[in-house]
Amino acid sequence: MDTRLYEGMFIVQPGDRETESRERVLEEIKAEIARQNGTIEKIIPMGKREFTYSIKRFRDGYYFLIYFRVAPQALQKMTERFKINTSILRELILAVDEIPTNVRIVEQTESARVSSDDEAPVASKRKSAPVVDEDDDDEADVDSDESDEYEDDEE
Amino acid sequence: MVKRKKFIKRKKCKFCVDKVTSIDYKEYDRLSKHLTERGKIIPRRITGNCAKHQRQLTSAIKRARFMALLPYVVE
Repeated sequence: MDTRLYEGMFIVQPGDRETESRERVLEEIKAEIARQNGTIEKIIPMGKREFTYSIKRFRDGYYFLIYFRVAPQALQKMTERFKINTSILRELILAVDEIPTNVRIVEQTESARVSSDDEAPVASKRKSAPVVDEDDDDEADVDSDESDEYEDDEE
Repeated sequence: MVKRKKFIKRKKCKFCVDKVTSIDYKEYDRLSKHLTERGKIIPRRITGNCAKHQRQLTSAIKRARFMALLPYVVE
């Protein structure tokens, strides 16, 4: 049976005894891939990360990136079982052509700081509008810009 | 009406400049630059992205949102 290479990102919930439960769930994921005659190519632990929004009342979780080969037909059965497992908060499996040689894992604390710094110039570029009706102002700004251009052309 | 000549700077797609072949949702620090402070995706007409990269960008942002790497809304 033909197999394909997949990249799966899993979020494991932080348990009571964290390292233990984390390892156990990782073993369950591995076992499930093995059950479908899949082979694991690479596992990259991404560490504990804080969510940008709470998932099932959890504020953070352990991220794992797993590259594995499995038959496309078996993938659906696999994901169904991952969904049943309540310790796995999220799973995202994508087909990839090859394993990237250097996967850049974004450091969380740093990225949070960098992104907030970088967002400022973008926001200031757009006219500072009251936050409440940001949406409408956004549209209006662009429209007025366009109409200005037209006027210039006519003149 | 004041007559004014408007100089419009042609915006260039950032991803084309960097020759990005595919936009990866895992590099969400980069994606966050294409979000407003409210967490909305900045339209193409403002950033100047090309259609191809904007399509890749939106799906990458949506994937990152699903994995709680990027926010759906910032309140």
